Amino acid sequence: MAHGRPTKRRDMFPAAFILPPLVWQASFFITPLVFLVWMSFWRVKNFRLTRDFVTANWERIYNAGFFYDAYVHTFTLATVNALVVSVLAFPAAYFLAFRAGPKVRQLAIVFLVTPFFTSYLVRIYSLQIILAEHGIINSALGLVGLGPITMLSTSFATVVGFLTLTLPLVILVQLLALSQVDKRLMEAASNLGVPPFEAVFKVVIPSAKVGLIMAGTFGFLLSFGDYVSPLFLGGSKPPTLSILIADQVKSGNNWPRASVVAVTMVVTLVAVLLLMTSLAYAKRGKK
Amino acid sequence: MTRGDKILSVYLAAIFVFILAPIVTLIVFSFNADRFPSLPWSGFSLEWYEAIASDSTIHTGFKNSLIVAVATAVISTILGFCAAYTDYRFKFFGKMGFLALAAMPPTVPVVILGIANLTFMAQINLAGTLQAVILGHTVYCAPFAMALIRIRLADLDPDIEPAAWNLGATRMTTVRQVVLPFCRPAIFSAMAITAAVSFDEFMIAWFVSGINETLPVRILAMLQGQVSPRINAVGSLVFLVTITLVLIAQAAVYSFRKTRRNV
Amino acid sequence: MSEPILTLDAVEKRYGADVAVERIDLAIDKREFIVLMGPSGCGKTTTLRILAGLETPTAGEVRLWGRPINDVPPWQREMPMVWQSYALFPFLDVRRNVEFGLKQRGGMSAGERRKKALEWLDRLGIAHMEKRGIHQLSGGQRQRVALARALALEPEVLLLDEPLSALDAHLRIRMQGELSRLHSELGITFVYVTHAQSEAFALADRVVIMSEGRVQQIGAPREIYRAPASRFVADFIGASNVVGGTVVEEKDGTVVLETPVGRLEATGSRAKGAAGALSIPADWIAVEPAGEATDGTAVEGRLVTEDFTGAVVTLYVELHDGSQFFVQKQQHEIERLSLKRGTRVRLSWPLEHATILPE
Repeated sequence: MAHGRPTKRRDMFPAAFILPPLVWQASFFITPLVFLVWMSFWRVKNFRLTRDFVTANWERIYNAGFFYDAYVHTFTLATVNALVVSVLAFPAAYFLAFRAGPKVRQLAIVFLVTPFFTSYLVRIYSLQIILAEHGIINSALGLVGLGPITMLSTSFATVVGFLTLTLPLVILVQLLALSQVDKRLMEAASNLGVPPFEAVFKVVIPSAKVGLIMAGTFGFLLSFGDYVSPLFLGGSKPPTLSILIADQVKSGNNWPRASVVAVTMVVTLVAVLLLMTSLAYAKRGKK
Repeated sequence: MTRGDKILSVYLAAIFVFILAPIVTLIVFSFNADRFPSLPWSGFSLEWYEAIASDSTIHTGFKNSLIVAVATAVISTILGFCAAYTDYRFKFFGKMGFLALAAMPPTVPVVILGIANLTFMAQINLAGTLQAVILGHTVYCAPFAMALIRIRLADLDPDIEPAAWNLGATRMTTVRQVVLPFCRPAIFSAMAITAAVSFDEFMIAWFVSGINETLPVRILAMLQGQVSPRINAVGSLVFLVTITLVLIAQAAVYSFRKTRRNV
Repeated sequence: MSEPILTLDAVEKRYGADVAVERIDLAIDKREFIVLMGPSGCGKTTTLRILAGLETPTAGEVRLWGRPINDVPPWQREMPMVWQSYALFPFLDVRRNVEFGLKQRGGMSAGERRKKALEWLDRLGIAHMEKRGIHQLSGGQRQRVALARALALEPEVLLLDEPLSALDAHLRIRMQGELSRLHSELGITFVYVTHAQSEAFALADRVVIMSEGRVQQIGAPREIYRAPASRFVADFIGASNVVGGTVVEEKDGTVVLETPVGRLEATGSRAKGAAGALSIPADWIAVEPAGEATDGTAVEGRLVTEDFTGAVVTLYVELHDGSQFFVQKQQHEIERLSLKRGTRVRLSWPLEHATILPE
């Protein structure tokens, strides 16, 4: 508020609202993350976690070939997904933003918001039985004398899983970005004789650049951290960083090494986020 | 409708088929008589639902999930309201940082929140308890509640609160008698969404719940075993609960979108 | 003179480097209908909000019956306000809106509150709407609910912030009458903010004209109309022609100014050689066919355009230097002149109405 609140010294009223979320998030969000960094310098001695300050975990993980493979694989899959989901989402978002009526748009938004919040885990399981060797698709193909095609335990399946997670959200963010585009710009373009298909590239995409890049970034973030799709659809061949973390914790019982992987992931995500934000807000001009 | 529009609407329909197909398959095969899900469909059966109905781990998981979801919904909605109201009402040094802190958790992968919580909870002797799951979930869910309530507050005429003060209501009374009633649909919707997200969340829960499995954690464990239509059955149940909550939340949002401030 | 109910003593409000209100001094009497008027951003609303306690002055003191109230929070001031946006509670029905203040004050049973709320709704002619939701009301009805909600507290001071600005012209006139009636019936102090001159002059006992955070003039409407205290006020009121110039002669309470439109006389006193502006009320100017010689109380020019608002005609006359005078006349007064665009006319006025404006 620009004005309007009577201020007095030692006014406890604002504190009553500021402190609960501040203290809560600091205690149960920031502290654990800080703890995670600290933990990466601990030691596991005789299967017992010991407070220490050694860089052994970092050296061990960073010198491990499996870590590099996992990192490259995870990064590549997330990048591929970001691109694929952006391209697949765009026509849908474009249609909803510019061509569809308000009723259709409203309904579509409900249909996009709902899966974002519902049962990702069981949807991945369901995709598993759809894509399996003797699954739905292959048994359908078998009925007409085709197949079977191997789909499960491939990167293709992993990306399909990522898409069920990210496609609704990316369409929504793109839709939001496109609804900010001034429709008069498009009318002006068509008035100047620019065909609609070209106008998309010359007018719509440049004016919605920030939102479109951020949508793709979400597509990256969500798939980079995902655990279930690479495991249950990709068959962990090779494992991703999330799978490494889970394995280190659940089977290896080596929390410090898992922390190293987790910290690396956070740093990567922050770097990607910063890079994409600066890219999104970079001045136009170079093409 | 132009030809381009027709193509695009068919495309949109295809996207929805892709998004919804796993759900439909899940539910359809939860009623399939055959143990192995494949075509052709081999007859209707309630066998798998009967199987999970008599499975005590499912019962416990359901109960745990319910406890966690309710507690998470209440706490994260309170936190979300406080954060949204802070953003609406106060100006102070470091507000940007405060808002970033309040909004950030969902952008962090749940696997990282999971391990961070695990290492932390172990130190304060909460690892393996439902309290730990609740704490992890509130951190993750509060930003959703904040966003919904903040959107509602944007429609609160900035004169309304001063008008209440002017009529003799203290600031706290004003929050109780004016701001809260005004935000009621958004609060309702925030409770539903946070409950849904919590009821559905398996990663944080898997890391910190230990033997106190929630339902999605149980499903995760089942997934690591053999393919079984029982997973379809219990998955359909989870889906039913969350979709109901999410649709309730959206209906509430829609209702307040329709009755916005009309001066 | 009795003790003022409200006093603003050198009150100032700054936001960083911006000055919203700069040293305002004002004493308001009980039963007075005082109107703060000025262009947007002049500080009138900030002044009202300071009275309500919604803004804390950065300097100076606000007193109620001589008692400083700077530190009294708004919820303890008992100075209800009628808001430009009405600020009614959208989730409460009409009656509960009116009861809101009574409920906060306490000491009344639910039944008593209800009775009192209905009394006020009845007094404002909308008792039959007690169960309606706010969104079911028209602008005029909301206005009445807002008034009832404020008056139900039976305050000594009622604050009104541009209460009529959202209403159409017809309704505005009716509500003006109603406010006037309420003020005289209730015998309480009204502090009223508006940018509309017609409202201010129709309602006020005294008008406070503000500009850029300062008080420009305080006075009864007639006084301000007849004797604007500054060039700003004269321009803002827009009822006079203002001509700037340099004083070349001064004798016995009149001065002669050298202006771009010629030498003009004015009442008042000002040192020779000083700059000054004189104001001539548009309705005191006589229009005649050109021809007779001009002197210190007349000018000559060409009719540029006419503007009718009902029975009043405004004539715009361009003088030889390109500046314009405007004249307001009843239509019948100028009919015989059969004026046409381009006609040359002579404008003259009684010397006593040409006053030199204070600097």
